[in-house]
Amino acid sequence: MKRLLGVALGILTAIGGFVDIGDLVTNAVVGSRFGLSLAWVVGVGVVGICLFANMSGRVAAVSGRATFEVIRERLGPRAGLANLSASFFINLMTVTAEIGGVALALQLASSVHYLLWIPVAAAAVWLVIWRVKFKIMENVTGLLGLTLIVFAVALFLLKPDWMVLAGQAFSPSVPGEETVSAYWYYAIALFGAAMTPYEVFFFSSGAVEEGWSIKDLVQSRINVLVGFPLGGFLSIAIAACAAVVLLPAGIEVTSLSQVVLPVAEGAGKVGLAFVLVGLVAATFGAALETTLSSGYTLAQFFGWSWGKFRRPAQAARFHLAMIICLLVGIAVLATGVDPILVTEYSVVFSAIALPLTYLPILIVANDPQYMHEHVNGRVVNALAMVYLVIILCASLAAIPLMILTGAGS
Amino acid sequence: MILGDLLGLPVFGTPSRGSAAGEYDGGRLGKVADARFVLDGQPHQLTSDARLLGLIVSPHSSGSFLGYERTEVRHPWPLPQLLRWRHRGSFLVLWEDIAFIGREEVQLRQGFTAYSTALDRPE
Amino acid sequence: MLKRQGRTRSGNRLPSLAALAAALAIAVTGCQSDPGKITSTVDTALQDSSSAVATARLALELEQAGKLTHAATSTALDNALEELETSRKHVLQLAPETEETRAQVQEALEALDQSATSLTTARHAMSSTDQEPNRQQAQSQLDQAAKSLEALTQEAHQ
Repeated sequence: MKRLLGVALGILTAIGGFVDIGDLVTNAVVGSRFGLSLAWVVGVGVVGICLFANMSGRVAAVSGRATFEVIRERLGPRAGLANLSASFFINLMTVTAEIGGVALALQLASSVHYLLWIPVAAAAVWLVIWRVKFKIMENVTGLLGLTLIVFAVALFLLKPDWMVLAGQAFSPSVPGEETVSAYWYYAIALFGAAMTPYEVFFFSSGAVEEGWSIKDLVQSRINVLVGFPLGGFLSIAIAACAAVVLLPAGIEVTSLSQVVLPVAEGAGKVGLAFVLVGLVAATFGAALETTLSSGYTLAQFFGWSWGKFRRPAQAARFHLAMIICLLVGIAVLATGVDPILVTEYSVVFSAIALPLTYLPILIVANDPQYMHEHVNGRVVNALAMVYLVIILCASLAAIPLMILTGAGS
Repeated sequence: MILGDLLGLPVFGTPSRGSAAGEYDGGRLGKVADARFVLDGQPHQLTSDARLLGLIVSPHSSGSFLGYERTEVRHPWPLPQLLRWRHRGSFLVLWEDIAFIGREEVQLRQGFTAYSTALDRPE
Repeated sequence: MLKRQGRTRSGNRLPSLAALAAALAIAVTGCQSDPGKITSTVDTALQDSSSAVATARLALELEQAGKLTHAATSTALDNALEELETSRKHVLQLAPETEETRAQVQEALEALDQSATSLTTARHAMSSTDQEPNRQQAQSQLDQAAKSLEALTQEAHQ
């Protein structure tokens, strides 16, 4: 029973991290333009995030150090600061996108303009971070976020031609009306959305918040191996829904209201109700995670005391930093910039910053002074090096492709 | 001056007595890549006070060794090899061998001793 | 523990960041001014607009079938209208120089206006209390707009 509850951490990070506003939008956009021909990227991303989240969880459990403490210790102050600036900037962008996502989801439910929901959403995020216990926070948003399964249910109810979908997924090719560079640009965006760095910041800091030790390693592995593939499965279901309904109708996704149309077609108003609850829970959960991650990264770099397990007065700078992040997010959204656009950029910038996060984790997971006998095995190291090369290629190709395709348009 | 200001400063040898002003014996040797401490000061409950043993000078890069100065850390291939190649020719100079530390440069004493940067596991 | 080692000469680090920044700046400023800009802007605008009109048609259809709530339908229509307005603004900002491109822009604007009108009808149908205009009228106007957009796109691709 206790272990079953423990898996909740994995599921929350999977849904909030895998299916957050970035995945919802990117997968729907990709599904509506490329069908399932980019589904393989989600698979590659799932294996990658499993690999590195597992590693960061192990580092946290064995050494008691969260990811950014490790980055600070291993990279030294200067390279660490450069890393912090990049990670923090991207995290802030993601916070902004998630709060916008909560507001957009609430607009869909209420038809009240999303700009009016933004202060409400941000205030709710702050209240939960300030008052609610870590365990309750993760379980509630995790369980409610699971209602996004309705994307998979709707896909079944739509009775698609499974052979066509499987054909797109397993022998991928670039659709006629799209360019090869746009295809690869969206491949990188999907990869960035799947492997967003805040997931490991949050996952490892969460392990410290919950006081994991070596005993909890098995549980950590279960969390990752159940949670992330579930997130990947949902991602593909979202893309498939868009591929079945929106692609044939000539609809290219540019807003959240289009993402839910296939669910309404397949599962009617009941499905819509589920998807709206899921959207709010997943984006709200991710808003909590990214806001906390901003606090975690800053506090861990500068050596402030951090964590929700401390009373806010004992971690004042940690909480103040998060309030400032939320205010910056509100200010950015108040300019009227499209949250969907912020989201699309945030996943690509995440892809650019991936090596900064994952290289230090890999190095420390090999360090016997931190890890004792729990250092990486040969197979994990070989896989991790393969991924490091993929991550590096994606990171280097992202900006040229962004310019070449006009950000995918 | 804090330690952070020291990192990345160029390191020079000392001009030999006979040569013209500004000409350095051995010229530029590299940059300060790291500072090495030993814990042999006043003993406390948990550890002893740290004492600055010396500076690590690296000819090609002032970046971090990322922990690979310890010879026992050998994984994952090929990262240790790459980092050790980037820091090829780096050496440790003891505090006693540093002539002076300026705002823009560090100068070593004549006839200083260059020690290996490798840290072996204590037996 | 400590071993003696030979001294080596120093090397310089490349200011690679500056080069990267310069390359980026050139790429960003240089990518806006190709000669086929009018055709490509019009093309993109038509494509985005037919996507918006298709969204509105689907949303309205689902609403009539009782599968989509009033709030979600209104939001979808609002978003579609916003998208259409953006496309229209891009086309309005063009400065065509030749007879041919002027005609092209003019034709596109007419189709976009028709689409905007049909979307407005759809929104009015959603908010009206007296069934005037009704959803069938909105649906048929949207169908017409979709046809005009498609015809123009087909023309451009021949």
